[in-house]
Amino acid sequence: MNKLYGLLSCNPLFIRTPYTTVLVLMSDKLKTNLVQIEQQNRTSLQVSGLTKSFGRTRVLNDLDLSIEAGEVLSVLGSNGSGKTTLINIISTLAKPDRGIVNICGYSIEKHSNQIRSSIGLVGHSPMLYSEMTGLENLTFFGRLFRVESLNNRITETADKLGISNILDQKVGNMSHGMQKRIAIARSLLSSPKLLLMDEPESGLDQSAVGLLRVIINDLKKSTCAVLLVTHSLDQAVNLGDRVAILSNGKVGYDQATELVDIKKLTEKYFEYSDQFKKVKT
Amino acid sequence: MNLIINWIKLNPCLAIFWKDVMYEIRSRDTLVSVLVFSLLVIVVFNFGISPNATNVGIFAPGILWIAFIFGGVLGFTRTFAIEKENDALNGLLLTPVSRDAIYFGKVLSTFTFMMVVEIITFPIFAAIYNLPILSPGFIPIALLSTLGISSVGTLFSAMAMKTKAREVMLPLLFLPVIVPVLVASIEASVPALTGGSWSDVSMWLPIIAAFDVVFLIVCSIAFSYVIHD
Repeated sequence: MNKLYGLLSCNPLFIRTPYTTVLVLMSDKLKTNLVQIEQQNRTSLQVSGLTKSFGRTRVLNDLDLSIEAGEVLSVLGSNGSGKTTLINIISTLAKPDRGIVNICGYSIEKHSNQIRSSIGLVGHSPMLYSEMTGLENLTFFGRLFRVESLNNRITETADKLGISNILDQKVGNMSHGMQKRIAIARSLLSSPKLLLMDEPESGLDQSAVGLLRVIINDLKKSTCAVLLVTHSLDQAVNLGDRVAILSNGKVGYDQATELVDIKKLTEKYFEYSDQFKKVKT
Repeated sequence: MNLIINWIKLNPCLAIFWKDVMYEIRSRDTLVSVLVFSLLVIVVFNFGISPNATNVGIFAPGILWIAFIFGGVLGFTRTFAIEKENDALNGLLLTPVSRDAIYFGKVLSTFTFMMVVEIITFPIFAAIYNLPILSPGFIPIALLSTLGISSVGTLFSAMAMKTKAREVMLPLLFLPVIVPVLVASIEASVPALTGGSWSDVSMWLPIIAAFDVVFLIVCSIAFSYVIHD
């Protein structure tokens, strides 16, 4: 298509006649479409006008957000600002009242199964079966995700997360941190294009947090986009490419981390938190 | 053969069924409690009614099905309780598996657990009430009725899971809906257990089968709405 456009726009013979002018105009539209398609392919997550209420409380209010492939967006916000609701909607666990959510070109309304194949979620709770071993959990979820060469993939992911030696233990007998590691392994099994992480560092020791950083950096290289919800401003800046602050159901602040000063970010965070509290009261 | 094994492993419905079976083998939460409860109902009714040779054919089928259904209610409360632990249900809902497959996997496991309870309970029931242990006519009734009970029970179990008082809500929702299959099962069981003719048994089977088909379709559709949000 690009070649066709080049031929039409650059060749003077084509531009001279009114008929070819039409062709050039058409090719301009084609190019615009191509740019849009390319943009869509680059954009892993596109959220626009997202609104969600619980009773009379509007948690998300016309929220717009986008993440490109290989990008890590850290989302900050005070308690009740809608971070988990946002993750639940993107992961198809909750339905929005209004708005559009597209993941890798798929809409959550029409292509929920394709979206589930493309995402991984690390939530507050491990979402694992306590009476089953770590390996059984990973095998079960891997089969449902139809992961190819599942055993190799489990070994590879377990090695990466340092859980190979505990895979034969029942999840119910594991510590919270180890359960979290298994949960992270489960979310990575299907090689997701978008990884949603809701406070992944909670319950993890320092070495595991370091491991998390390595994993996120690896994901960036594999063009997986990451939406990282956290309360830690340091983690948000260290792990993210962009930092966003949710306030009053919207993205109040969105900035590339290279331009962010942690002191200013702290001020902004409290400023938006205060605004949020005032609106709530 | 390998192809079949791979298909079984990759079929989401069977994967969910296998997970539930494995979970039950480990925890033994549902089977033991349902079995003990069903046996208790049978024994308690035996003391309460003191059936004799003339009235046993009238009372016994009713007692048997009450034992199975009330035992089933106990089991249904556990069906989705294991999914609530650690929010495992959300993990299941995040997989690219249709809600129908989750529903049918759950129905299959519930049906299997109920059948196991029935297979163990029936000989004890037959011995206590002095009825023939070998009643081939009872097999299609048990299979069809248990399928109907499982299909409705699984849906209401998912529904009750979302409410605060699920132990109270489940019987309230489940028992009125199951009345047609309960009546048909008891009516069909009377000739099956007392040596009646096959035509007396078989006239009830299409009713139970129709109930199964209708409720399997309706419940599988309703399940995706119940389980979401």
